[in-house]
Amino acid sequence: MARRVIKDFPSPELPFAYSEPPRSGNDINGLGQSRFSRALQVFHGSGARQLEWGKLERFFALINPFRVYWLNLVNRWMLRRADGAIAKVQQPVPDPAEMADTIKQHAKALGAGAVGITALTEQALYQNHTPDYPTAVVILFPMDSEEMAYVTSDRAGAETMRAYMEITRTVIALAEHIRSLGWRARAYSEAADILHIPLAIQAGLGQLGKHGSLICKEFGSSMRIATVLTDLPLAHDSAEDIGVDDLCLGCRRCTIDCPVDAISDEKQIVRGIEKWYVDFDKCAPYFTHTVGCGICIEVCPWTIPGKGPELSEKLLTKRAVKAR
Amino acid sequence: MPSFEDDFYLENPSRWQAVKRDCRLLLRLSIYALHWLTRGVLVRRAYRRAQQTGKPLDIDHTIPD
Repeated sequence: MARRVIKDFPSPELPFAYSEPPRSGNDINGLGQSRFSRALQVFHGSGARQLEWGKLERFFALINPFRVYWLNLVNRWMLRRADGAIAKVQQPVPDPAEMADTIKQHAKALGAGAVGITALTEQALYQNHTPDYPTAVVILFPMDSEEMAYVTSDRAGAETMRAYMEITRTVIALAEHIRSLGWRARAYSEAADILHIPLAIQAGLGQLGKHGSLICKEFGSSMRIATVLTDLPLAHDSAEDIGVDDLCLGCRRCTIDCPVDAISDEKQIVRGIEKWYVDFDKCAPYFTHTVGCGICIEVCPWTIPGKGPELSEKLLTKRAVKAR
Repeated sequence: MPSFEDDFYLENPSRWQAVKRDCRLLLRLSIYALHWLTRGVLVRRAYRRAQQTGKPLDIDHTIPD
């Protein structure tokens, strides 16, 4: 059955405002900055610093329905097991490629929708935070498309938190498994300690879409991302071009449907890298008002269930034909 | 300021360290839940009023530092 997003989105007129607006989130994010630097947390934080937009984030938490808030607390409680005991005897890894396959299969058996492995790079780290691990195992977990069709309602918010809990459970179990082999491993989910999207792109799980979220072939943008950092020797995957830019350059679905016009039709320079960027100052207040929004990811053509692989193939074929 | 990770992620903890960590986290999450049930009621009430009257709620005054 074809899924339709219920387009009954709240008005962009917001019933709240700052009397003294904080420093622009776009400025903090490094929009227009030509030199590379690590990211800074702006809205969702790890608690490591007082955030400029922290008041809005606290307001967001307090206006969340209790069901969503409760799931968030349960998720935090689960994350106490993100790290833990490491087996005293370390299993040798003569073949990192074989071990990478084993870990991927194990992650999928635990519930992961897709798995990729990459090096932990500067792009995935916030300022003043350097976890000491060489490798990232990145996991995607799809959200229920029927529930997410109700974006901007509590129903979709609850589905988002449910997906976070499932992916948290998966990465915790995967990290525990790696530690049982005698190697260090730490799970990261939801809490803003590392940037999952750059890692997922490097790990070949998808590409950045015009709406600033990851697009993968299997689930479009309707998924959550979590990561296990480890020193287990694993073969790394490479980034994969699935044709996202070919579509995003011409498609205006998210641009048109975004009630606050936060999505630009052109890539921009952000901390030294040219990429798709969503206007934070427009997006964050509406995201707060709608308890998680999600319009852009749900209206994206890639998010239509089962559409991604066919779309990718068409776009790449078209590009190849043009190039001849 | 320690992050959530600095506070609650423990590599190779002893049993005692793990119990202490669990108690601290439980306390922190209980405070969050209590906050949602107390301060949150006032914030949500003010927010609903703002939606009904059309007079925007002032975030700076509603949410303390």
